[in-house]
Amino acid sequence: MTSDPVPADAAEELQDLLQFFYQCPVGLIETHDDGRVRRINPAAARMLAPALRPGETLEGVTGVLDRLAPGLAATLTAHRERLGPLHPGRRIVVAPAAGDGRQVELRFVRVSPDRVMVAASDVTVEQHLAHRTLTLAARLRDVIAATEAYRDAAADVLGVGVSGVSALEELVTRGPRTPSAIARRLGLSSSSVTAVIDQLESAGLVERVDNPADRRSTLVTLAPGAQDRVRPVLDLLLSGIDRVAEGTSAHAQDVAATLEAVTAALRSRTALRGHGATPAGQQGRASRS
Amino acid sequence: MTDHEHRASIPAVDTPLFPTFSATDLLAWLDGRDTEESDLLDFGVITIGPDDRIVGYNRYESERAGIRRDRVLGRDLFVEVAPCINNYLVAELFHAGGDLDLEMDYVFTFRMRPTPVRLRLLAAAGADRRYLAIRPR
Repeated sequence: MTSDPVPADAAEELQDLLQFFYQCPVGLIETHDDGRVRRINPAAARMLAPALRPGETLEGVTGVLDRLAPGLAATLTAHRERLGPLHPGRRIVVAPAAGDGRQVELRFVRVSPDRVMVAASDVTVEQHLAHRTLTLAARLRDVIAATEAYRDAAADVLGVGVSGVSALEELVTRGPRTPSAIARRLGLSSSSVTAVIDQLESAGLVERVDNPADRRSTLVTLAPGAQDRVRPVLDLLLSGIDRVAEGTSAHAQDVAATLEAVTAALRSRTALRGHGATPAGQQGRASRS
Repeated sequence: MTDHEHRASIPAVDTPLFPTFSATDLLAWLDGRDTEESDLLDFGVITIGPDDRIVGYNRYESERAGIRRDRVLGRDLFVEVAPCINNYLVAELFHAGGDLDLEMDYVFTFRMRPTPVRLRLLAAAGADRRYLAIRPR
């Protein structure tokens, strides 16, 4: 049986322990409940130093805490009877310096009735990523809204409904399809897709032809000449978005910028409708069934 | 030698033998000597190499901080020895790479206790050695 060796030099062991706290990436401050600092590690000083005023020291933290968030120092005297986290489930994120961009999360833990441990974590990157995620979500909503507006405009131009536009996209990109295949793709019932195909047929955009693979069913295909009418209108949705995306980011790293460019292209082409042109720059039709 | 020239050649009585913390010629004095000679100064001096590793740690600083010189030489100042200054107030000024001569109040954490200090950041653009001078306040 072996045991851990006893350190030969307690002073050396103390140095190692200090080094551990010196290099700890989390800031640690142990304070009395009047705000006097009992111990503090370098990470805490690094994070809070930008909030200090000239000549101010970190021998007390009451002033700096209240400067970071009014009333925050009162946390030091809260719940003296209860040891443990003083605000479980609540995040306190502060910016120690205006314009610096750094964000620090503070957690208060009572370690004895008259002492509190403050843990400070640099959450700048986390906050930045969260902000980017929110930005992406907003840009994605913009793309969805712009796409719907573009389909509405395309439907007006072609004189069909929005579901008809989606059916045409399917036929242009995948070729002749059975009505049931179109229904599955568009999430429509068979009766609804029949009405959509009837409308497209009336507009002269599609035809029902025999299905060579199944004599009991039909295929829906673009009518002769329809390709020339449909392609320009739906070009941006069908392949133009790829070109827009390629043009915005050679390395495809800035997703938000790419989504912005796609939204701008969709909106730009949609806006042309209001000036007597189609989403693709053609002259529009007044009627819409 | 005229009387005037003779008086000028004698150092004034109150002229210090070695530069003070705020002396205008401190950077030139440090640059012109071996790092060991900074032991002669009555304030702390940490000499930093181009890769942020400590190449000089004078006696004053070693005694005040209670850290032996051999424990810090060769270590990264901002990551291993003084992470408290690894921010835009100090480290990033050194990393900017230009001429630097700036004094500021700061708080060190010697042995986990807040320790108010006065810092002087010294560097010449492109030089291999940069200096952090420290004195208590």
